[in-house]
Amino acid sequence: MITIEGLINFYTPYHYIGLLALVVAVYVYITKKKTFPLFIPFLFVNSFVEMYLVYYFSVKIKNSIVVYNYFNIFVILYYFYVYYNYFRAKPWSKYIMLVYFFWLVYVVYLFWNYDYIKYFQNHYTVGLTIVSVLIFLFFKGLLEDAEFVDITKIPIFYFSVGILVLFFSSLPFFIFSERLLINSESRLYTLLIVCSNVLLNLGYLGTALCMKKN
Amino acid sequence: MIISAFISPLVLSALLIWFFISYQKRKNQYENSQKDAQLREQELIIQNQLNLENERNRIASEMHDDLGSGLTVIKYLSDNIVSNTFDNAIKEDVNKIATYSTVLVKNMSEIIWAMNSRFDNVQGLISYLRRFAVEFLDDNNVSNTFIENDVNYDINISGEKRRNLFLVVKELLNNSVKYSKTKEIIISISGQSDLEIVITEKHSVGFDPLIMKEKGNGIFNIEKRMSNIDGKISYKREGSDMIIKIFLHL
Repeated sequence: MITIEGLINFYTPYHYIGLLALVVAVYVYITKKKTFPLFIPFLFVNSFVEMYLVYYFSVKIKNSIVVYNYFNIFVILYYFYVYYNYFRAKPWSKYIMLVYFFWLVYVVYLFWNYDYIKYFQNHYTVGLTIVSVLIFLFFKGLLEDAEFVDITKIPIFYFSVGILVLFFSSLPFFIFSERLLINSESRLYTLLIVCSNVLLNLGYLGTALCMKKN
Repeated sequence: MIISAFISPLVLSALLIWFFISYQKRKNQYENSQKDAQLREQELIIQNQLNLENERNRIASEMHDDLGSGLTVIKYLSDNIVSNTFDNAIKEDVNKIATYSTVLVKNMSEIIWAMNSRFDNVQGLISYLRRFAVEFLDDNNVSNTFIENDVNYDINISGEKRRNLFLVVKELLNNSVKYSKTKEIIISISGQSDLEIVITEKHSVGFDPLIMKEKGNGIFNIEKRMSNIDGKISYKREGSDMIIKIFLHL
């Protein structure tokens, strides 16, 4: 049964940090008319799914992976959009769209051919790998661009670090998820995921605060 | 399995560390290049100022040597003609030439003083003001006192500021002598990082600056000059005295 007490017990620090990031982003938008591309809708969906839908499915069908299966498609599409937007001026930016088109084809293919756990681990891992490549291209650009950019003043930097930390720390979980789900070591990985989610949401919060500061 | 969980964070950490080290190097390079550019710019500014100063000094020196001596010769020759001729009409005209030459020499000496960077400090300004005020007031039979209180003589002050301040004081003293009917003027100068010049006309008939501004150009020009050098001027009546305060932030 879904209860307020159950919801509160379900929340971990990263839920609150995500919510705080949404509040700050809305505040910055209202006071400074500044926003990161589609950041507020993204954070709203993020908070809604993480704070309500995941709990709802955990209680109702004792499994939240179904929610994550679809939510993560949304998340990765949003990351694609952010980096496509960032690299839009580059001549090779159209290839980003092409890669994402193939990724979507792969998502559909997985949907028909694998069970939900494999589906989850495969599309998320492949999607985030591509995003990580884009993030490293972004970092490389920061080092190579003729004009020096102060990383503490660009919101996308905090966003990128958050994603990288989440992805690299949770990568083993996705690769070995089948074994981990029946293995006693899974608690360690759950802890790892929670910690990396804290860092991811701190990245979102940093993005919002950076917009406020600048 | 546990080991594998730590490999990817380690890879990430290594990559991030590499990024931050490279970024820090880039930042240092950028900061150094900014500092170099700033230094070059400052050097260029100093060089330009030096060039400007040299040019000012050269013009001042040439004005002094060529024009000054030329005008002095005109005055000398005029005086000679006046003493050797008996024609009153010629005498009158030549006297005018001599008078204009004297006025021109004085005006030119003011311009030369303003242009010469040797006097670009409070000491240079006060010395010139004192000499002018004492001479001018003595010539007009006005008793005068010149007081210097806690003044920082070494502070730099540009030629433009010096000239404007001098012309303001000159105009004020001229007005005092002409209209105030005062027999005593006290000029007091003070200030460490600012300069405050107070001119006190003792037992003066005084004046209303607003009315004076409408009547003639004197007060208007004074205020314009003060505004050009970001200075302030105020007028106050205290008993039978008229007090004029000039303030300039250095």
